[in-house]
Amino acid sequence: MSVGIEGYGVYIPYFRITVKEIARMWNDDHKTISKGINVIEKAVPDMDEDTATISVNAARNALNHSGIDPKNLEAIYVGSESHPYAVKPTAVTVAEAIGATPYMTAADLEFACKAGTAGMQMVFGLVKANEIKYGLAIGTDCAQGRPGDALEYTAGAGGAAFIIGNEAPIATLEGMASFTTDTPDFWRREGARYPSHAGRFTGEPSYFRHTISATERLLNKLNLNVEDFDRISFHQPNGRFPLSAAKILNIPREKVEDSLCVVKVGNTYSAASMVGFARQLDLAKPGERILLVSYGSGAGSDAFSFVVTDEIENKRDRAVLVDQYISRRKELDYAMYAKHRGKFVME
Amino acid sequence: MGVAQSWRTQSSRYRLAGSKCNECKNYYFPVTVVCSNCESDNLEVINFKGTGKLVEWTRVDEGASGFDHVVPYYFAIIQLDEGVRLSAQLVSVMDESKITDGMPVRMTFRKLMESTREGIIEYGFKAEPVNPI
Ligand SMILES: [Zn+2]
Repeated sequence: MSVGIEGYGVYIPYFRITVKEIARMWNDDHKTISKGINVIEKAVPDMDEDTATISVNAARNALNHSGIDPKNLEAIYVGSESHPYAVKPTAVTVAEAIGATPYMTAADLEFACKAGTAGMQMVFGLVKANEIKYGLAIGTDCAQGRPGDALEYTAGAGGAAFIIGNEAPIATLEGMASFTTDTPDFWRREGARYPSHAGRFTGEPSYFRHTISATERLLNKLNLNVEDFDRISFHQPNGRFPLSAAKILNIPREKVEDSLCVVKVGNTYSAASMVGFARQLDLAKPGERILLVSYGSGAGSDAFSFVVTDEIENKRDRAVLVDQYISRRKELDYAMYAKHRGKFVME
Repeated sequence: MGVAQSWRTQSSRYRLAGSKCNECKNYYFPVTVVCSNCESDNLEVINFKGTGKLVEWTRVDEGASGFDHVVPYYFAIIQLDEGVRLSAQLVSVMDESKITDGMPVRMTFRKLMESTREGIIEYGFKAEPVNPI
């Protein structure tokens, strides 16, 4: 059997704040904003949730879905730009909480919104080299936008976990390709509370160039055309960019639309393309081919091609669907949201 | 809780580790070495599944040190499906009037304590309603 996804799981916090409510706070026109970014609301973590807790809850769902013993996981990588500690890995807390320790390797990864897919590449490499039997790659973020900044409308929270192996994959890996350059579109210096961005610069030379170049590179490598893909998940910093990328590549929007969790949960950063991929897997049928392309500012994109196997039906009843998390929601007003996100500085 | 004590109780907080008596089949939380029912020392460490029901709950309006910014919050006694009872914070509650005794709950992984911005963060289980309220 070839290497692929043995199981997956997501976690999205329970609370939401709508674009309308944020716009009310800043006296913006919510209809114009919502239409412009194609986002209705975003997920807000509870006061006691962070990247570690979201990762653990996603990893538990992935473990249940895969049906494997956590002791057989020999590598855990957590990609995020919101690790709770500057020094002390999130991955060890995940490993301990799901019972995978101690005979395993672990590390935290950082590359803006593509650190999670960087982890997937590393685990695929280790499994393909027969160094490990199973590994776990997680992408999670609790994104923070400066109050009043455009990013505040989209900065969401969520996580996605993928268990990789070659025992009974629900989707096998056909190939992967990346595109990477030094492009300063978005950054946060050590100790800075909120990120900075280069405004409109975020589009053309960064998101679109990298997403499209990585996709084209993968197509060339595998000798495939975009028509060969049934389902696609691009990185989704908002609900517009993935649809625009599809248009540039001549991909019908229907192939991307099912992945657009950003409309209801916001931009989950390192988790965004992976949560979209998880939703595509929730809906996929055996034989379908899925394209996953991440994007991380700074900048780079990782592209993957998967083919769904019959095994997806055997594991279906153990999956906690992305839609179960999307529909499980309670709205907060701006004051409660500010309290939840620690926007009141108390010291 | 000091860093060392916190680390020693990690398996119970992280994985809901407890004990099962192999003689009389009683369960214990947290881990114990002697069965208080049959006095056997033939116990094994198990991880509870983390599903159960709400037995009792109370609302906390004045938080202890380190919790004063999260009030009000809810504290509950949970009976796990395996039969043992434990206490845990009850989270994901928006409408207090919908909390009912006996309602199904499950354990979720959360931050338990973060006393200062520079100290260690404690993680562990809290309970949440299975059906959102
Ligand atoms: Zn006994």
